[in-house]
Amino acid sequence: MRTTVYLPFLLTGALVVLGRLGSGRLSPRIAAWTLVCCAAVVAASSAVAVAILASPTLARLPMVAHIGRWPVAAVATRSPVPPWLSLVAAVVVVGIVISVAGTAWHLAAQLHAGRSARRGFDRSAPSGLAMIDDPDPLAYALWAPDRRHHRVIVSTGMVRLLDPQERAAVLAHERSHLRHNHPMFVAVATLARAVHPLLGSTAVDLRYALERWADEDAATATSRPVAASALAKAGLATLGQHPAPMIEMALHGHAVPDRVAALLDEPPHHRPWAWALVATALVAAGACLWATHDTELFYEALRRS
Amino acid sequence: MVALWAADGAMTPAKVQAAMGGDLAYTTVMTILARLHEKGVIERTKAGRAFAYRPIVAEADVVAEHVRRLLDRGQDRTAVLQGLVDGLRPEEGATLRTLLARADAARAAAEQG
Repeated sequence: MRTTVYLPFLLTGALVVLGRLGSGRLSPRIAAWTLVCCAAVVAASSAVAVAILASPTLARLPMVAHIGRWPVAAVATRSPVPPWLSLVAAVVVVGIVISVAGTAWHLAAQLHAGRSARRGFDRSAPSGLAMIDDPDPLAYALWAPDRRHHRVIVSTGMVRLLDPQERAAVLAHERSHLRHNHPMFVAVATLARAVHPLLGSTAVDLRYALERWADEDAATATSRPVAASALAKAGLATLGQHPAPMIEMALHGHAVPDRVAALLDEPPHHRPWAWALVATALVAAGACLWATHDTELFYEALRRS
Repeated sequence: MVALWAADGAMTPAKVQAAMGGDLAYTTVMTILARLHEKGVIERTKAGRAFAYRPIVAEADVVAEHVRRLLDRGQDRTAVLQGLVDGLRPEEGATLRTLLARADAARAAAEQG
């Protein structure tokens, strides 16, 4: 419990750095899967580690000590965690619980809002492609847990902007988001970020990887230059629209030009980075399990004293 | 449907067939349009001997409002809705124009080769 419990926090930092470096060098599909799974594991490990650090504070409460059948005084004297640290950890645990609960509620609200939008489409667009009359070039994938309710929403502005091949590329891009359930990836990463704010950087990397994944699917359906030109045209047409860019994408840098440039090049393949990310996550999980085991032993020993 | 929406007015089956690139037979296009009309997705008016079909836009405007509300709901809207392009900065325009020229060149080369 002494040292292993601190490992997950160090490894969160390592994951963030590795994620930023590695995501541009992996194939998008592998990058996305690796980032989301590692983020989830590291977030969970960090949460458990904080709880372990907080446990002496909780264990000292007379009611808890009574349930656990260990002497209150012994916790104070024999705990390997300094009392001030344990108190800070307890506050952090409360913060994490509130943050995760709030995020989960927010995600559920979005899902519900999506459902009412989808119901509006059910009559006018039974086939899965919905058009809205809007001069702005818009193309969205509206996701739902039931596959049959997936919709691709395209504006008349977008349709007029592109030639037939480019329209096919845009459709393929949005369908890829739906087919591979990308919004689920984003939901998991958002929850991971609720546990540990640093993982917000990993969430940005993940969103970029998901867009690249859908771009690659669009390129497969049409061709790389066609997908590139569709994306470039759509990007240029939306330049005036969003004067304040979303903070997330701004953190990543020039996302759309990067994506277009990537489509004009060959896709990357280097595998070793994926294993570095996975190894980090596994070590974090392992450290967490070890620390949990140690903690159990600690409280067992307390009970017997 | 996409061909109908892209047009600015009502279209006869012949025009729809042409807009779709002539991949489908005339009778197929006619059948699809008739079925869409039965479902209430498009409306038609007589134009000479054939019908001219027009998509029912009014419904879509209501839906657009739903979508707009979804989009305006703060930063993290991508649990449900993922867009093609999000938040471009003005300085990215020049880069994009250069890249678009490259893409056009690549397409032209591919079509010739």
